[in-house]
Amino acid sequence: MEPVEFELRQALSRRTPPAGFTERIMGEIRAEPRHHWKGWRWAAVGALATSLSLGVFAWRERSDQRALVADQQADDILFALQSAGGKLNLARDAVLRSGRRGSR
Amino acid sequence: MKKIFVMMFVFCCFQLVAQQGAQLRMDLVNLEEKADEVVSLNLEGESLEGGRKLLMLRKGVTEPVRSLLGKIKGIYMRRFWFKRKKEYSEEDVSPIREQVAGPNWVRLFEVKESGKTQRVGVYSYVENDDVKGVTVVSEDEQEFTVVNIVGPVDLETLSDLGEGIGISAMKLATTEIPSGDALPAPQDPKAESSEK
Repeated sequence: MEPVEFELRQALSRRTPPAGFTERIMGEIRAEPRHHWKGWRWAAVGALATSLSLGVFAWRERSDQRALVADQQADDILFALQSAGGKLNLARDAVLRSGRRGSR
Repeated sequence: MKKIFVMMFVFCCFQLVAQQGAQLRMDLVNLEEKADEVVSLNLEGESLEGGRKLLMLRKGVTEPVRSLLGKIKGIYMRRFWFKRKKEYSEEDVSPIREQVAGPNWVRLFEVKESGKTQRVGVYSYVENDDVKGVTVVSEDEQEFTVVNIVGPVDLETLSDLGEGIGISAMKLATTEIPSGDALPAPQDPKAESSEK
């Protein structure tokens, strides 16, 4: 028998496990934390929900701000047009008055 | 192809110049320094568009006012108020007076009644027989106001706005969007004026 063959036979030969081997392995399996990823999953769901709520809040804030600005701009347009119209009427009325005075 | 681009460029330049022509330079530094209260409005581009869109949605806006709003390209207003009388001089307001006396500007009214201190001038910027802008200048002992509107302005509608006609059903601080898709039918300005 070749030395290599002898070594292989020795390595592959059946051996009896030491006493308490099965219990030790089973104990280790039980002690190992199972479903470790579950915590991460909930953290991810929480982060997603928070970012979504923040996004919706920011979007609403921005639209409210835009609405306020547009409202102010609309008021400004009216204010300017009404001022111009008011002054125009003053001038027109004065012209009409002077016309009436002239015709008398 | 090149010719078309050149023509388009020239056309755009003309449009730009035409718009600038009706737009006054509001450089009234002296008045700003002397005035106790200054109202300054520059409504153009996005600021005009935002306000205009909202106004179009409001209740009680008549068709002539909608049409006026739709054509305006810019509104520029300055109002100076002084605590004391005669605080500003003719020289202070000359930058505006000189511009409205320039080419293409037509004086529609210029009124100064005897015994009254107020003087009002209405000028329109005319190009190729089309009104491209209107400027209203009002001077009083304690106030100087100039409103420069760029775009084709119907003076009749502007006058109605001055009397609160055409928008009288609106509250300035709120926006009332009509229920349903249809916008309200334009109201009769005469009926509104008789209500007052």
